[in-house]
Amino acid sequence: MTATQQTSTLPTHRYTLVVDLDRCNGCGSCATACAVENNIPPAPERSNVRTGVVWLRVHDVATVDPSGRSTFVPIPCQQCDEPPCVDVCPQRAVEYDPRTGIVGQIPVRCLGCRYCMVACPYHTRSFNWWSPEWPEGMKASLNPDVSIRQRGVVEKCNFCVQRLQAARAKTSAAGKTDIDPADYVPACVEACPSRALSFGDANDADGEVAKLAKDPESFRLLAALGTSPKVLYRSSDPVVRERLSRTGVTRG
Amino acid sequence: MKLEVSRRDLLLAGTGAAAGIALSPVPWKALDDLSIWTQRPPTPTPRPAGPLAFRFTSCTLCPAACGLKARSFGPQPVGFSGVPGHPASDGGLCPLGLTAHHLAKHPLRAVAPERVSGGKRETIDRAAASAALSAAIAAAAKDPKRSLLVVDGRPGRSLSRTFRALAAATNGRYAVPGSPSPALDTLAARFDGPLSLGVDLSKARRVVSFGTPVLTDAGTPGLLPRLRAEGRRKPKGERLEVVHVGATRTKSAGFADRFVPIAPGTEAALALGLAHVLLDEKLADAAFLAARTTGLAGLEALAARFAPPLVEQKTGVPAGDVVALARDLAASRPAVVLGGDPAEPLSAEADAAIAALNLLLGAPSGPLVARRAAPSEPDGDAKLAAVTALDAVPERSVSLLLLDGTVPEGLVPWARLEKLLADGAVVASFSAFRAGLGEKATLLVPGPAPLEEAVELDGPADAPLATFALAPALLAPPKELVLPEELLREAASAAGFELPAPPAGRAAAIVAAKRGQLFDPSTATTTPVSSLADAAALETAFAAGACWVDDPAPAPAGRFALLSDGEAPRLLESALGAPGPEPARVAALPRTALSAAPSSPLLTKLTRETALFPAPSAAKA
Ligand code: SF4
Ligand code: SF4
Ligand code: SF4
Repeated sequence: MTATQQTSTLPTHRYTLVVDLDRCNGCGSCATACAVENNIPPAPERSNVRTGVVWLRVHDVATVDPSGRSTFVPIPCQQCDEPPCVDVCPQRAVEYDPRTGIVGQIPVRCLGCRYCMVACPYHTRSFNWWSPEWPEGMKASLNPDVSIRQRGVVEKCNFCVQRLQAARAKTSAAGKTDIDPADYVPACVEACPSRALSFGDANDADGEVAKLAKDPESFRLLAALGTSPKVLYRSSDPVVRERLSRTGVTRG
Repeated sequence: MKLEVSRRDLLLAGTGAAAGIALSPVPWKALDDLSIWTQRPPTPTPRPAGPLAFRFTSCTLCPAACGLKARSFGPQPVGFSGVPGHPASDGGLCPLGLTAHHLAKHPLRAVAPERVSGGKRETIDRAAASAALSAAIAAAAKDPKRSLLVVDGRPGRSLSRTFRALAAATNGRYAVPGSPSPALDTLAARFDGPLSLGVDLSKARRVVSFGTPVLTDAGTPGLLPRLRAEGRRKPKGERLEVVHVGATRTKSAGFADRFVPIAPGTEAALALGLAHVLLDEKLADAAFLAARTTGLAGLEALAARFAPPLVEQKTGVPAGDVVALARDLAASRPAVVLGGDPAEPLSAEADAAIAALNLLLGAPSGPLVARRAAPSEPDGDAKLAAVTALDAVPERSVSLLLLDGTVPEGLVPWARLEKLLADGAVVASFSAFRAGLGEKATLLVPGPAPLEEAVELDGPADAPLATFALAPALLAPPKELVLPEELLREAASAAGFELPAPPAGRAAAIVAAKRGQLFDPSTATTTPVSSLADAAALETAFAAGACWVDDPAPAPAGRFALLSDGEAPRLLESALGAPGPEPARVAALPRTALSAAPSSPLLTKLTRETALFPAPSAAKA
C-alpha cells in the first residue's frame, strides 16, 4: 500500500533526510552509528560488499565529476513515497506508514523471497545470509530497543523508528501531542561530524528540511523513476546533481 | 423452454467463478491479511541491568580527544554520540570512537599477564609478572652497555612521570612517538623564544596540505569539510579551498578542491619552487617578512635555485601549475601550509621548506596561532628522564623495552623498535590487547581497555587552544586486572628503586594557574576556572565528563628565522636529490594508524562490506 492509497485521520508527517554532498568526506561515522544503533552484527568471514548487511552504505563516486574529485554519497533506504518494495511483498513485511512516510521493514514476517530486493532500484536492502553473531561478551553492548534479526530475512534502514517511538512515549508522558524535533534524530544524523545530514519533517514549512528540500541545489537519486524518495541530496556542483539524479549509484 | 444444466455447464461456471475471484482483489487481500499471522516471534535483545542514563567522557583512542556522550543502561554503554559545543571536537566522532565500548570485549583482549617464550604463550599470575619485570629492570640497570627504554604514547600523565622516574633511576631512556605536526614544530623552533603553534582553520582561506589527510583523518573529525562547505556561497576568491599535494591520491586528496600529484619525496622541491615564485614576483607578505622574520637574503638565494622549469623536472608538476599555485596562494591569504601524515612524516628538509613557505605567506599572523600547553605539575626535585628521540637510541642497545599500552604501531612500527633490541631483550607491554605492539611483547601485563580507567587526556597538540580532561571511566575493569602503575612501582621497588609518589594532579595545577574555562557537556555551558572553589571542585566536574579549555594566548613578540643556521645547503642537496620511494601505506579506516587499540569487530562492516574502506590487506600500496 503506498502513500496515495492510504488515508488517515492522524496528522501526517513526512520525515525526510537531506544529505549535503559538499560536506560528506566519506568518514563512515554514519554507517557505523547505524550499525551500533540497529544491532547489525559484525561482518561474517565470507561476507562482502554484495552479501553484507549494511543499512547505510557510503559510496565514492569519483567518476561522476569530470575533475576526478571524489563525491561521497551515503545511501540508506530512500524512504520512497511510492515504494516499489511495498507492493511486491507477499507477506506484508514492508509497510508504508502514512502518519510518518516511513517505509517500515518487519523482518519477523519476511519469508526471505527477496522480491523487495529486486524491486528496490536503490539497492538499499540487505539479506541475512548468515545467522547474526557477536564476539563473546559483546552482546551486552547491543541496543535493547532493537530486536535481533535472524538468518533468511531481509532488512533495511527505517529512519531509526525506535527513536521515533521513544520520542512519542516521551511526548505523551509529558502530556504533549507534538514531538520536539530534537527528540527524534536518527543515529546517522546524530553521528555525522561534518553535519552533512539534516533530518526533520518536510511538512513543517518553517523547518530546515522543508527549506532545504526546495533549494535548487537539492535533488533525488533516479528522479525519473517516480519513486518520490524522502532522502534528498544536495550539491553545489551541477555535474554531480545532473549525473546522480539521472543514474543513481550502483552497489560495489 | 427447458433449462438444462449439464455437468459441463457446472464445470464452466465453477472455473469461471474461480478465475473471476482469482482476478479480483479478494483472495489476495485475504492472503495478505492472513500472512501476518505467519510471522515468527522476534528475537529480543538482552537489556542490560540498570536504568537508562546519559554519561559523558572523552575518547582516548587518538589525539583528537573527542567528547563522548554515552547512552548507558546501568554501567553498560550501548551507544555513543558526540558532544555539541565540546571544545576539542564540537560534536564530531569517528567510527573508532563510536565503537569504543566494544573494545573491552574485543576477541584480542587480554586480562591476565602472559609470557611468551619460544613462540609459546602462557598465562602467568601477578607475582610471576612482577618478578619477571623486576628481574628485567635490575638487569637493565646493572648492564653498562644495554639499558631500559620506555616508549609512552601519551606523555603528561601521572604514569608518564613514573616511567620517566624509572628511566632516570636506571640510566634508561624515555621516548614518545614523533610529533603529530613536525612542520609546525620546525616553524616554532625558528622563533627567537619559546613558542608552540596551533592551527586555526577558521581563519584560513587556502589550506595547502603536503600529504596530511586534512579533510578526512587529521584533526577534529569533520571540521575542515564543515568550514569549507559553510563558505561555499561566498564568491570564489573568498571561500576556503583545500589543495592537496602528494604522491598518492588518498581519500583526502580526492576530496580536496585541487589535487597536485608529485613525484614521491619531492615536497621540499615544490615548496621551494613556490617560494621562488612568491619572492620573484614579489607576492610574499612583505609587511610580515619585514616585521617578524630574519634571514630573507638567505632564503632568496636558496629559492632562486628553484625556478619552475627545474621544479617541474624534479616533481613532475608542470611549471605553469607551480606559478599558478603560488599566485593563487598569495591572492588567497590568509593561507596556511600543512605537511606530513603522522604515520608517514615528511623529511626534515621538507618540513623546513614548508616552514619557510608559511613565513612567506605570513601564516603566523593568520591561521597559525600561538598556544600554551595545559598547566601541569612542576617536576620539582623529582629525578625524571628527559624525552629522547627514538632515532637517537643506538641499535641493539635495549635490554628491556617497556611499551605503554598507548603506543600505536602505526606511528612506531615494530620494525623500528626491533632494531633497537639487544639479544635476549625483554619486551614488556601494558597493552590491553594481543594486537599491535602488544602482540610483540614477551611479557604482556595487560592494562585497562579504553573506557575502563580515568585518563588524563591532553587535547590535540596542534589545536589553537589547549584542552584537558580527566576523562572518567565508563566501564569497570575486570577484577583480576593489574594496574600498570602499581605493578611498575612494585617491580621497581623489588629491583631496589623506590619511585617518587605521584604528584597532586593536573586539576590542582589548572586551578592554581587560574586560566581557562570549564566546559560542562551536559549543559554545553562554560564557567571560568577562576570561579571554581578549589581543585576538588574541578575534579568533581572532570568526573562528570567536563573538559578544560585554555584562554587564547597573547601572540609573543619576536621574529622567526626564515632558515635556520646551516640549513640552506642541506635543503638544496635534499631538494635537488633523487625522488624518494613510493609511499607504502594507504590507511583503510580513518585514524587506525593513530590508535593503539585494535578496531571494533563491527568495523568489518566498513572494511569488508563497503568498497570505500578496503581491508588493510587489500589496501593499495
Ligand atoms: S529505497 Fe528501496 S527499500 Fe527503500 S522505500 Fe524505496 S524501494 Fe523500498
Ligand atoms: S558521517 Fe557524515 S561525513 Fe561521514 S560518511 Fe556519513 S554523511 Fe558523510
Ligand atoms: S578515535 Fe580520535 S577522532 Fe575518533 S572519536 Fe576518538 S578521539 Fe575522536
